[in-house]
Amino acid sequence: MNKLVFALFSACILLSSCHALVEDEFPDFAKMPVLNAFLQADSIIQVQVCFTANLNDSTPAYASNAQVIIEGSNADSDTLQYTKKGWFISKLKAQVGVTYTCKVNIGGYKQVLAKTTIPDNSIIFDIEFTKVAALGNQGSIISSYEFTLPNYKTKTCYWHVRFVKPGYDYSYDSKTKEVVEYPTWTEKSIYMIPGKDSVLLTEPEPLTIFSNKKMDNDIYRVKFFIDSYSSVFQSYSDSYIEVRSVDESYYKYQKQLFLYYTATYHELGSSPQAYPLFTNVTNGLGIFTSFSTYRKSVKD
Amino acid sequence: MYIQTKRPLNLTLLGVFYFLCFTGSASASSVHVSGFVRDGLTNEVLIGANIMETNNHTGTVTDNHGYFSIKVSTPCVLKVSYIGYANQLITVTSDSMVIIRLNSSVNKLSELTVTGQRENKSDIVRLTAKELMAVPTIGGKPDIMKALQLLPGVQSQSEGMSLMMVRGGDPGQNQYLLDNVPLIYVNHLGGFLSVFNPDMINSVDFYKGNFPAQHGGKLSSIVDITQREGDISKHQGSFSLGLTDAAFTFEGPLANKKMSYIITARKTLVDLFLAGMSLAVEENDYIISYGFYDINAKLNWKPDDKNSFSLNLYQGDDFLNFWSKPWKMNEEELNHTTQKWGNWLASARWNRLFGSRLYAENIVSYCRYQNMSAQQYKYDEEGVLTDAAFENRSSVSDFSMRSAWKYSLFKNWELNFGAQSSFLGYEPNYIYNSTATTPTVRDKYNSIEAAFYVDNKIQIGKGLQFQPSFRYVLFANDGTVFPGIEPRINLTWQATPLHSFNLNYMQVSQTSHLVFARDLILKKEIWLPATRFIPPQRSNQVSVTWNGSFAKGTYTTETNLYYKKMKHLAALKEGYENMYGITGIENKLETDGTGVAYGAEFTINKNTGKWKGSLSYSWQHATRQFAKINDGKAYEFDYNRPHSLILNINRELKNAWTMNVVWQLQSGIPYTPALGKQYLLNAENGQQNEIGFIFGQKNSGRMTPYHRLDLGFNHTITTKRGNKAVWTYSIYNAYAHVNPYSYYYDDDKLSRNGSRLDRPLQLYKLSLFGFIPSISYKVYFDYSKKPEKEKIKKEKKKYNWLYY
Repeated sequence: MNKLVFALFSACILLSSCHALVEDEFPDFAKMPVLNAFLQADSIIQVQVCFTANLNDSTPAYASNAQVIIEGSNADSDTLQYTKKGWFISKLKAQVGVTYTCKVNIGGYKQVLAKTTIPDNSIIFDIEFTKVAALGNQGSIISSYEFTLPNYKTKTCYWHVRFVKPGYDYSYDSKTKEVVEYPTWTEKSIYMIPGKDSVLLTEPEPLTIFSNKKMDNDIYRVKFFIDSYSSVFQSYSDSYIEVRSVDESYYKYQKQLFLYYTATYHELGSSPQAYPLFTNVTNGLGIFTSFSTYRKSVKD
Repeated sequence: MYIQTKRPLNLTLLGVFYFLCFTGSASASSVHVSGFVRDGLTNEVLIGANIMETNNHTGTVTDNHGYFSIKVSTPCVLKVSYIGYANQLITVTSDSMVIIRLNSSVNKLSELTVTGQRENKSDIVRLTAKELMAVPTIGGKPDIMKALQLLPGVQSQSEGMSLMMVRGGDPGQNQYLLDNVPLIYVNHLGGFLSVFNPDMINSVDFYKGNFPAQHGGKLSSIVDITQREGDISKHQGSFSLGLTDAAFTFEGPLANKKMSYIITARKTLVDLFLAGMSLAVEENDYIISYGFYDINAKLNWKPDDKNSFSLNLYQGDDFLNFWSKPWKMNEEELNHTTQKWGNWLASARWNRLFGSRLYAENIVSYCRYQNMSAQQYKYDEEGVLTDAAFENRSSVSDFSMRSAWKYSLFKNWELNFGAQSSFLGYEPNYIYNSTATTPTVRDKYNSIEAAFYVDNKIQIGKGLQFQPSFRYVLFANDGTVFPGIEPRINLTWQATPLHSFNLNYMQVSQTSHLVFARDLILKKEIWLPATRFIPPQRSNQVSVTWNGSFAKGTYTTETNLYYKKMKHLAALKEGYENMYGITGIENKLETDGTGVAYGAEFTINKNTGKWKGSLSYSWQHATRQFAKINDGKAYEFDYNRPHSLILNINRELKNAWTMNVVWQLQSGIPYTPALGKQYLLNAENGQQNEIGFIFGQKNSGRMTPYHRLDLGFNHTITTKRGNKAVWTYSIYNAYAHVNPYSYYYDDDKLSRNGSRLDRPLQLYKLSLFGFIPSISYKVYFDYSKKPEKEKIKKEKKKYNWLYY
């Protein structure tokens, strides 16, 4: 509805507006290594290494000749094997509580360094469903789920709440020329409303990522909203609430990524803005972070 | 020892006091003359009229009540002059209070004066209603804010917008005074038009710095608008029609010319057009209406020459309505979304001249700004009718009392002093949702702001004016008290009759912060009071000015240099777009920001001849610094345009045509450029997602220069009924230059004519306004003519036979 109002309201102005090319040359940007990885507890460690590219370049190049080493605080160490598209795979599985340091050596560049600590799981309980929690625009039904999350007051914790159901996705294998089916978790868009909740007030909407910086108690009651059923989510009975306990760098990266996308979304009345992406990589760019996952079926 | 050092100090102070008080006033036969200068016909006050002692060419000018006070040595002849009016000479022999009525000059060329009347002050521009009328605008109707944006040091937030930024300040740092009463919200049509109806305006005093101690509360500028009082000689009015609105004005005398009234009102026509269009399109499920209205009324009563009373009312709102068509819904279903925002203001004023030395103004006022969005719907779900309502409101109310006094202490020492007290109610974010399980959010801040001030104007000798003043402000909110003293010093040296130099320093505090937040439909302005988490904003500004006059006043120039530092600035945190859940507003704000602005401004005016106008150039550097923005490094202010050149030309043409040309050339605003690209990972599945940009430092790039030519033509005619009427034709952006509103990167591979384009990544600019022609019509009517006409008609009828 808002889009329609906005479109009509802006129509008169946009009648005379126009878009034009800016005759300006892009700057020459010195190539830098980019290290990317989301380590998941109890999963094989995978790291992608590539390079930055100039704005004129079609795609960034992969660093297939890089040497990638993973060192854990538990004395585990491994040199990762290159597979394809810049991905390097380890024999090691990420373990909860271990701090992993990734070292990347590429000829002609300083050693790239990054580290992350795999957070512990947060086991949730007392799930409560409300079918009509509120009504949206034009009276559409908004449902909600609530659950209890334990809080560890002695340390700073970060969480990412998702609403998912198991499913399949497909990809095309150019070698075998076949469509490959693989299991995945389909995500349903959810949101939280700060209201008077000081915990959520410190977070930008509409992310469901938050910290315990403003939590005073040992537990915290999380409530999220779902707009309406979709073709994939014809009912919620086979769905799961997924709570990711995430590293601080994950939290910062996701928040900054949200701002990044918000800024690039073009809208009349908004001022021209841009936000840099968060990086925790020394001598390079990218994100090297981790999380552990706990899923609980809403049927339970 | 202590006493010994104190005595010489006291003697020195006494000496300085004596010097200041009596230098140049040794004559034993000095007398005080005070009074008002008014239009001889309409009795409207003449603001900025010159009162000059013919013996020694010293003098003063009338203030925005038309009031003046001067001490002269007798015998003396005062020459009173005002552009467009015949001069008047007054012989003074003793202390006296006078009402001087000037008659309009036969020379109508003066109506085209471009440059404002100027007091011998720096950083202040006075614009008359006639000057405002001359500036071409998008809708063809004059607008104060658009005229102010042509002054050096003033920039608009974005093209076509009324919000302005003065000397690197924020849009929320400008004080708008309507007859000395602050108005909180000043925009119509989302900023394309200001709320100030030009038909109601007598003059505008615009301060970029050098604020008199009487004014405060906003850091960057004071827009002091004096409204008209209404014609006391006859009942008359006008009606105008333009692209943006239709407007009318009525004014005239009451109670045997002891009273006068003026009423003006405007309303858009586009709301009816939009509603009609959306009704007519059958496929459309909704009816949409958007518009604004404002009403301004003023009643004046002058029981005698010493007292005057006035009542002033203003109400103006913008409204946006959105209904689902009832016939396309089930029975009893309803869906209505609305957003309404604006001010209303009521004030009562009493002005009294106590004698030839003392003049006072007392005002009681109430102003309320509110921006409200609401949604109401009834929805039939499986036979059950659900009724729900949502409301979100932001408001500020201001109940104030002001008392301002002017006293001529000595011949060369004028004292302005006064006090004010305001009871302010802030409700930044009221949220009500009838279906929500969470309680209604309602945070209210009741605060008090009190101030008193003393402003001294001391003439030292013939050429030097020293103006030490201060303003003491006390603000209490949320259990916290913020006291603050604001010193201000102004020194003016009249080096020759044609050239003067000025140095001034001022400190100002602002106890409110403005943020722009998204709402149900449109963005809205939310005012937040200072709290212990968000202290009041404060600024220090120093400026130097040279005013020059050349070729017998044909050309005048003004050159300014300034440096301004602001602290305790606040802004919404990056990523926050709304203020929902306002509890603990400090959680949503970046606070303790600092801002620095410095620059130079130059203006040359041509005041006489057929061609009149001005050329101004300004250079400015403005930055902001917040701990959590741009890694804590200072960055260029979002809307800073370092160079600005504005040419304004007026010309009277033949056959009652006039022409106004405005050309502006400005640097582009800064933007944050992308330097390179990198792969991003998707947190959901840990896989490669897409290519993202690597951005440089915030605002380290600059958009292409902005330039635009606007043309305005006025044609004055006489209607068949003998009324004066004016056609206004204007062209905005006459050569249709594509000026950047914003920049974006795009490699959109859109299909064009069935073929897929392989476009590389490029930088594009979005431009808002191309070539926009507009037309408006205004007709003046005069009630007093009617009886005459009817009389002639009757006479004609009576003596009809004569015509055969």
